[in-house]
Amino acid sequence: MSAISSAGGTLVDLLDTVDDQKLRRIIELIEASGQRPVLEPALAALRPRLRTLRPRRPPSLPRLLTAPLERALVDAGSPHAFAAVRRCRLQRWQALALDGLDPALAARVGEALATPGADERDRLLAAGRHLWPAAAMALVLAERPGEPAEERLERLRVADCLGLGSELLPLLDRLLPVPAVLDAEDQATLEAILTLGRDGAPDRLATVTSLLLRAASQPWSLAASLLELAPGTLETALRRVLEALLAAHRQELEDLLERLAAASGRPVADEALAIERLAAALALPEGAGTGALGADELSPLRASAAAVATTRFSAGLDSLLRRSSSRGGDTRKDAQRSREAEARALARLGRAARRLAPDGGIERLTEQAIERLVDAAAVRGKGRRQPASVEDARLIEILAGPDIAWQYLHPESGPVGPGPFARRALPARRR
Amino acid sequence: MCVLSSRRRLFSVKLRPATFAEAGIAAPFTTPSVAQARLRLDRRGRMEIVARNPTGNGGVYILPLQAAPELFRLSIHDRVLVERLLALPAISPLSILSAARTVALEGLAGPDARAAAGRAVAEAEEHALLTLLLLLERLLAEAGQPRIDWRAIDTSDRAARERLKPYFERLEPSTGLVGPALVDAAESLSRVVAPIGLPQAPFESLAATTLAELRVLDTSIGSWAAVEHHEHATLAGLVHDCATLTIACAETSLAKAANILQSTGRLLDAHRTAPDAVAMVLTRPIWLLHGWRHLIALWNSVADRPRAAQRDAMVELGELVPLVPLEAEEGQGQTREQSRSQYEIHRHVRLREDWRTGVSIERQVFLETLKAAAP
Repeated sequence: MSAISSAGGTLVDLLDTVDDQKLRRIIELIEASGQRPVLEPALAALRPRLRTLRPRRPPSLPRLLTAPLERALVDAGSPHAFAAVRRCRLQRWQALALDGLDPALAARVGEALATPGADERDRLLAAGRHLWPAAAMALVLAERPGEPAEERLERLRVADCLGLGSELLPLLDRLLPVPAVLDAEDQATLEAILTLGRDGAPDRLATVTSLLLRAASQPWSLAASLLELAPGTLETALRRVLEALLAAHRQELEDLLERLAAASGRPVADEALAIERLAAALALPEGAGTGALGADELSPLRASAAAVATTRFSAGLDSLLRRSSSRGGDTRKDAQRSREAEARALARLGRAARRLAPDGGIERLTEQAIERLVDAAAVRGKGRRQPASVEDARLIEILAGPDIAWQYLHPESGPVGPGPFARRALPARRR
Repeated sequence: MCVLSSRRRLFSVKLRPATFAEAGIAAPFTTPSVAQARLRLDRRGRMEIVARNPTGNGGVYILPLQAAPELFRLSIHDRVLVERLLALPAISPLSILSAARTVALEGLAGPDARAAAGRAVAEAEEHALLTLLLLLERLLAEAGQPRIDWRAIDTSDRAARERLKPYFERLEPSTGLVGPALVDAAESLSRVVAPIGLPQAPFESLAATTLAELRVLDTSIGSWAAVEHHEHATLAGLVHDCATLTIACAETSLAKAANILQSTGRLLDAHRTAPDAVAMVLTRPIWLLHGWRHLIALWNSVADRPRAAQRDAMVELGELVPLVPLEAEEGQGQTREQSRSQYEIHRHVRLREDWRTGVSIERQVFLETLKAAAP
């Protein structure tokens, strides 16, 4: 095991340095080789990137058994333990389900999965319709003497997820990622999911609701919608479940913010991702009935997140400007490419920061940074006023939009275009 | 990504364009809201832009190109490109391609697009020179003159054209053209012929490359559609139909072009007496294939991505697919029906897209990446 950990650790260090496309290819190769379960603990650190990259995974029986509970899986130490399935136990549940299956059925489904042709998701759902009910039954019957109550509950939860799979997955596919504003079709889907959660196993409502909330970028907003859509008989139970789930969300956001505030020197792209996540989750929910769910108490968290975001944005701009003047050993093309990538991440970070605190000073910081960028160019040009270079104009475009960039590229042109910046004058000495 | 509550109707225009002039030419803008918008001349000969409705609903916006920066929040690349396009004496796929490459060379579409444009410009220059040499060689052979001493010609040398002067002088009696007029005519022809290529050309022409890539795209989309359902299958069918028809028309037009390229002397003669007619035959394959390179790059960019990403790309392909003008099918036997799909599908607003202005940080980067892939 230590050898695997050691190898895994080395692998992760290596994978952390490769670009997204290469990482996706490598993970696809690992998937195809069937080594993913062995390397899973080592790959945990890469999960946030892999969630975005979504490498292809060949259909297989273990993957088929994971599909209905994929969104219920949580890592050890996650605050989302409520109504979840621990990732570290996944292999055990898979093994129990496979042991209890009719071998002929398993072989038939395995063959159907391996047959190329239809869309992979359709194949998975079609195979699941045959396999999941049998696997669910196998897990229900796999009770052993002395099984701890908490594990028993989780085993039954996994069985319930498998039993619901063929009905629930198409509904989730239709709804996720949960849109910020729900239209009538989305609301009907949510209602259908709530109906599924109403009956059956004792904690099915919690399981189904947790799947939805964990996938939502704005959990408080979704929780309010769920309460509005829930029938009266379900409201009390649902409110209890939502409060528990939202408390976990809040805890997770606080942890994320704490890590963000404590860490320094992380790539701007990573910081931007984290702050975007905070901004989306802490966005003020629309609609009534959210107060009781603790949304009103998010203000201090939102203010702290805004402060961290502004600090990070400012530090990021400083770093970008330092890189502008010192090109290091990079070639011009590589240097510009990496500056632009950093500026894009900063622009996203700035946008998220503005979402957290619209008057938080992001625009002022951006303007100051642009001034410094242009001043540095003027120094290089021995004090002569001149239009911004194309490279600098591209950075300005990324950070402040094309209208501002155009004015620096063509100072004689004046404001152009319909954007919000166009109507605002440049600082007096720049006109 | 979230689903916008309003829906977008695709393909609100029901009829195929009658002529190439009506269809216009796709322009490689990097602003997402006008990406691959079409350019054409209005009744007064001014350039106008035909852009998709920025609200996502059906219909198109048609406005003078000069006014585009007023309505759309254009990237700095596009503002410069608009200026260059407005200065063009005439528009054609090749003139737009050349203007776009010049702008990309300045770095306005990013470092990768600049490098790609540099390679493309150098390659186009070399192809034009090689074509000039081949045309000259054939003229010499037809006039019974000694062939070119290839050992003295280096195609990467800027002075190579100078070394050809003595050969042109030998051709003056047989062609009836004198001095610079003959050189100009041959140079002008070589720039039109290079993109479609001479049969014995030692390079793959723009038309040949695009046609080969289009065949691959056609096959790929055909097999993709076979396992797809509902609206995306219909969309893929539409793109597949358009690709198949474009391939057929391009093959026919390339054959016609090859036909008039058989005798260089007669070609030169025709070019002198009816330059527009000659140019029309020689450039038609490029008119037909123009715009597909962006679509090919777009489809290739999702080749390894999950099915959902491929479906998103298919929606975009369906919106951008260049419809073959009816006039292109002259000589094809019969005019084929190319119906447009009339269903409605969700518009997916991409993460981080600024919906009000259409500016999307990631989207512009993606378009610049495609520009680097298909300069």
